[in-house]
Amino acid sequence: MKTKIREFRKEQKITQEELASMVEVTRQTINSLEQGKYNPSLELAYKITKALNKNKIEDVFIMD
Amino acid sequence: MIIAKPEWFTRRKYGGWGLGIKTWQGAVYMAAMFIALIVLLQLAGDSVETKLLVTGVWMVFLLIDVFDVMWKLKKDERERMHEAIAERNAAWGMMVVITLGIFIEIMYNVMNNSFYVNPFLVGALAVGVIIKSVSNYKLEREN
Repeated sequence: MKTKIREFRKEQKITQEELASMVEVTRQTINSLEQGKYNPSLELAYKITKALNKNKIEDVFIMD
Repeated sequence: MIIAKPEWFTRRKYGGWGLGIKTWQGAVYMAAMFIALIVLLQLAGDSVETKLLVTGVWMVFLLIDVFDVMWKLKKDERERMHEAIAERNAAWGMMVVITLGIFIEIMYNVMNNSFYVNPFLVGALAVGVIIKSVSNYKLEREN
């Protein structure tokens, strides 16, 4: 799964650490998500979408 | 009784189970615990029984603290998945070695006209089977 987390995070000037803290995961998990190595649960995908001020999960996460 | 804080430690990923030290407070805690044991053993005098009792009480205290920290350590979903896979792989490795051990022991004893199997080895497998069954039953009911 590809994500636009890094792009939206940079847009909003949020660090990996800050986003991790907002959605209650580790920085390593955010890094894995950005690299497309880890597929998140629906709950985490939803939290990240909200934290990045986006409306739809598919705006942030793109299925290959 | 519980002194250690979860934020001082990290889950040990490499080199076994238990806790790894994360912050200086964790290092101070561990050092203090070992110094406390040395002091208590000195105060215990020459009696071996008293020294064993002191060490036992100290160990129970340490284990309660360690289990409390491990219980409270936060893990996100990715870490939980990693831990589950690593623990499963470890369990499979141990099961293969134990089963092989039981087989070799039976073969050896049969060749010596006796039948003996170490009850701890069989017990370890039996406990594993029970824990797996209970876990699956509980998980199926919960989600």
